[in-house]
Amino acid sequence: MPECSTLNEIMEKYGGDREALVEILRDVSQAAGYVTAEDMATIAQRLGLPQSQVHSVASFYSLISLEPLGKHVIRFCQDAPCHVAGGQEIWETLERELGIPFGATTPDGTWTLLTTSCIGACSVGPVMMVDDEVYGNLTPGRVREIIAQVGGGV
Amino acid sequence: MSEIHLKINDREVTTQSGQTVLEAAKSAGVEIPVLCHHPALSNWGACRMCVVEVEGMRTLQTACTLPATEGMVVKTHTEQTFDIRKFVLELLFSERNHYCMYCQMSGDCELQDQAYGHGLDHWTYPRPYEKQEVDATRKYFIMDHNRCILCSRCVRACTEIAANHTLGLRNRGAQTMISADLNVPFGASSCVECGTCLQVCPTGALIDARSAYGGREKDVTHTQTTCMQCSVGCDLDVVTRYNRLLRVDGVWDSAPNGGLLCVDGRFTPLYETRKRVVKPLVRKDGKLTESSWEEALGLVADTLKGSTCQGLAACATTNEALAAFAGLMTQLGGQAGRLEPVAPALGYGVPATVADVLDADFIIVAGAQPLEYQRVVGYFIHRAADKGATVAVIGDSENALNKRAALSVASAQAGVVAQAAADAEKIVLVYSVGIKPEVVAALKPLGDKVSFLALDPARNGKGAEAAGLKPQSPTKTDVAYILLGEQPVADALRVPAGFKVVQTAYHSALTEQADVVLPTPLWYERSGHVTTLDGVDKSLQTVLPAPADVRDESVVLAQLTALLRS
Amino acid sequence: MIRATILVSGDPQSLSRGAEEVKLAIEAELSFYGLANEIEVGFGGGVTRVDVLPTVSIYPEGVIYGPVKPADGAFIVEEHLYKGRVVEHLLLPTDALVSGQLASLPAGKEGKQYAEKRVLLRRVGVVDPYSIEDYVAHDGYFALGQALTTMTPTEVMNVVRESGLQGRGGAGFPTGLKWSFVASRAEETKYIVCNADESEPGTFKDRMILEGDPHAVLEGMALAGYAVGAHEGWIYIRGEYVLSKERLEQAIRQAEELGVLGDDIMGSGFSFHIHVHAGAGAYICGEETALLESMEGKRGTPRIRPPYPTVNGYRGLPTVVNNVETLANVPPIVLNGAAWYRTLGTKRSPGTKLYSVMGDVNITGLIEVPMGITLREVVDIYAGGMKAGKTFKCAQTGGASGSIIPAALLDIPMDFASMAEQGASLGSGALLICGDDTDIVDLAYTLVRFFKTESCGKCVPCRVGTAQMLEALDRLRQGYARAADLARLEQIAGYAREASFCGLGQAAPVPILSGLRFFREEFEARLRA
Repeated sequence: MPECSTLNEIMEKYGGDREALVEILRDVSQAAGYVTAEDMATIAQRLGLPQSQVHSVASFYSLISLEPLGKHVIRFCQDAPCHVAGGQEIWETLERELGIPFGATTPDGTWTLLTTSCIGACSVGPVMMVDDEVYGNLTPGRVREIIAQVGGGV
Repeated sequence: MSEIHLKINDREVTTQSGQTVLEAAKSAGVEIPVLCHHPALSNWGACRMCVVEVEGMRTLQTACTLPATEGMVVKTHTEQTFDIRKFVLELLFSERNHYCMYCQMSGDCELQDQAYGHGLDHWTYPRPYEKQEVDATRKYFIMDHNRCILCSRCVRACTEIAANHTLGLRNRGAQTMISADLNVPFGASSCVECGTCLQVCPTGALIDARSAYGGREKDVTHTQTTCMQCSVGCDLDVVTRYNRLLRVDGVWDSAPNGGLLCVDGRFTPLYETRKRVVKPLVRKDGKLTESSWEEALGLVADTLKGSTCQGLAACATTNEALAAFAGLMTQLGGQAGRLEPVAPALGYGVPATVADVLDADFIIVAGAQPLEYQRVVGYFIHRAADKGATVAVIGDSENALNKRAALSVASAQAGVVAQAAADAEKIVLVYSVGIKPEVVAALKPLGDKVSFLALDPARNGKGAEAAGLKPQSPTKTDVAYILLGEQPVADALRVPAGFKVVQTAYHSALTEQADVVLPTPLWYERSGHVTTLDGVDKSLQTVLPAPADVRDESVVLAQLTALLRS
Repeated sequence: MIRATILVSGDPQSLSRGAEEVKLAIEAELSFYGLANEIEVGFGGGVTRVDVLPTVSIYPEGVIYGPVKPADGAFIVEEHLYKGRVVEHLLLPTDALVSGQLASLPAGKEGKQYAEKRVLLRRVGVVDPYSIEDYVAHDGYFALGQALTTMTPTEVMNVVRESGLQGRGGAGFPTGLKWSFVASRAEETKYIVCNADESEPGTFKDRMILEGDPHAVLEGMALAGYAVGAHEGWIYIRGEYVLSKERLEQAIRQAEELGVLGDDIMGSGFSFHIHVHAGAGAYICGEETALLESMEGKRGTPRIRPPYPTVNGYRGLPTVVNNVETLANVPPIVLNGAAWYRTLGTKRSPGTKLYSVMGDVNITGLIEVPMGITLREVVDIYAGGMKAGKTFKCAQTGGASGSIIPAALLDIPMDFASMAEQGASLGSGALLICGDDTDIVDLAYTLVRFFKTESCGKCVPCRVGTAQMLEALDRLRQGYARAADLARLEQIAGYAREASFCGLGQAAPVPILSGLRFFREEFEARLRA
């Protein structure tokens, strides 16, 4: 299983350090899209930590996902600077275009729509990240373009 | 420790350094409201009920976390603190479903008490809460998340007292939930059902399945006694109403367990399903038939006279009964022994107490399964491991402690453990009947650096030891007198004696073989003493009366002694 | 043989303004001219004014162009690199970047020259963040060298103390005093932790330093370590700051190779190691005790205080936790002395301050100005005034946890003390400038929604209070609220501010309280009759 080897590599990188729990979970989530219960059980066992602690930590941080995400993940900044710059309209456009509310994944598994806190690109707000790319100065039209371009249409 | 002087509500208060303002206030008779705080648990400071005003401090301080310092001036009950406390209560009542009238804790609930105390007789905040699930997957108690105030007492109890780490907090912010392991139902989790979380829950979120709606605090009776389920000897607070056993709680400030119990101390005896012996039984025409005490004891006395006799005790009764039993057998010139084996003497080391386990930096577990048979000791080992102690398990079979052990070896490799422990400061050896002679020998180089805790497999093994009872197997005698009490026996146990007297609380494979069965009281129906693992004699209190025809073993044995003399 | 290096600014602002396309265009053009083997192309740090992004810097000449479009990139290759002519019309405006000097700005009030004062940003966009040599060539590690060879730890601490440097994380606690707490502890192991969990919405000052001048932070940490007797430093960086992390890690490797970090630095006998620990998405981890919890691999929930981190910090040991900007101030202070530092800023708050300016103004981006300039000066001069057709209504300062400031306070000097006197907070230095069409209720709703999302859930006033406040603001927004609802909202906000466990919960009600203080009529106008 490729996920398994990724998990092994990540565990190895941090060398069994319990303090690295947050980093391990984040890296696994980013490598595999999300962290499975089996992953968490393995991490708990290898670090000698209670499973409750691993889950407790995993469910605390927003960059660690415990559920499978879509092929592409949109993280829309919902903070004040972007909001003031017209974020509400973009928010509504995203929900309408993808046909899902925030926090959800499209039935075909292509898109997951999430919010993020500030990504430090406020002066070009409203901003969203699509996977690892930052897109600023968003307008409804531009959002439609990006969705079409990245997703090959919805 | 030095003395600290502070002023609480214009009164001079003297306390010790290291005390919190909450503790200082309590010692001065000032009660500060709390919800997340519990004296047996670490401070949390999250509910904000205990906020106080401190002169010179910009913001309100939580009394439960603030160390008392010299010259501090504290006001605990001001208009501002009252308003904040009421605010906290308003918020909690708005967060989830707290309709008191349907809750089994109504009347005993800390949240409800505080609400009344702060004049909260109706809701003023909107209550947009969502329905939460009720998790009833555990046998003995239920978690109703709707009543939970997320004080985390249960999580801290599970972590700090039971050291089992089943409970944690899931998610964050308004989505925070109490959660087990990797978010599994409690019944499918690593929970050992020690029930400590249940005991510390301030609301009706954790519900004891048996005592729920069975009576409020003002209706019930509390009796303190000693647990007889294993040799540790934990203090119990038994809760009864209408001559019915409702619930068992731990006693916080008691040795050795400090409030911690196990499933066998708290729950299983209340769910006993074996059939009780309530009248003396005598075998007539091959069938056990109810008889009078006179008839039964007369028959036993007559049979004993002039016969060879072996007395075997399951050490599940009081010191008084065991002594009387040993005395009677000696008087009859028979053998007297115990059914359970005994852990061997080491020949080196100094005796340890159960509490010593907590301070050890190296714990060796050899030939013992404390997590199965003396669970509180097992939990103490977990606690020591959490504090950084090294746990080494020696044995030739699977041990539940292996999970937390740094080192786990077969008996033949015990020398490895001796070496690993050589540099430790405080070594405690926890062992039992399974310890092999080669292990005893291999650990000998540690000598008197070892404090040892010999776990007796019998419930009152120390009492038996004091009565001079040593392990014996059933032999072929005319009469076998078996003092069984509540102890279950293996179906395979065969007693070759011609005539068998069994003094017991329950029907079993052994009563099926018996010629005379004499009923005994249960642990909560008797008085007397037991000797704990620490060698302390603790008293048993009669919590509820025994059925009319049930007599204590020591009384029966005295009657029998008298009959034999006549 | 590489004869030149081209750095395209690669910060998010630049990327969103087409930096990637510019880089692709440059690469294509280099191939076209057969220069690909002798000229390398990479992403570098951005300058701080957004309107000139993306920039293209060419080394070793140190020529900087900006703003550059993809077509311009191709043109620059042809003209500058192939033909050897500087493209004058694409050069970065001189006022956007002048190293270590006063940059004169076009608009002066009453003939006065307004200028950025670049102390922290003097190298950002100028040096190659991937090159320690570049850093050293710009006075880098001089302060550390000077401290280790000519100063005692106490002297270093005293310089910082006398400089009057205040923590730039928001609270403005005197840095030298914090250090002295840790220095006085007897424990053998102590830690320096750099708080790089920059998560205040609208704040990107630390990111600019981390990405543009990472060695400055490392040097500041090493100086702090020397002063307090710590030999290990940790940088806790936001999980989202992937590029910053990469640059820091590279910088640490280079500094260790050069011997300015690691064992026996410059033969002084002082050893200092720095590690990077990245977060995983939690605003609360900017709170220093939550940050320490997170570093220890736990949930980022704040710890009970006292004891403070100076006593019971990372792994239970004495720990200095300083913000990125604070630490970046340390090398220039050590190098130039406390007296020099006090010539900057105000008497009560010396030094410069970074502000990230956003909103309805003409020029957004990061500026570095002396402490004590007014909001009016920022808006009118540095930000080039309000956007056409808009007038100033209010500013939201300090990220989410700051306050809403009305026009009446435009002339208050911005330093820690003066702001506090007005019941406002300088906070993280974010300045969201809002024009007259800004809906205050909506703004408050957005800010409180942020806090509700980011609340750790430990204490009741924050966990439930933010939910209640958001609910009430939503009712107000939708026009369902009555006067009693508004009164209750104000009450909840007031209590939550008093009763919350940590700064997050205490800050969450501020948008409501300051909004009500200055714009009550807007809240009341939304009430149901």
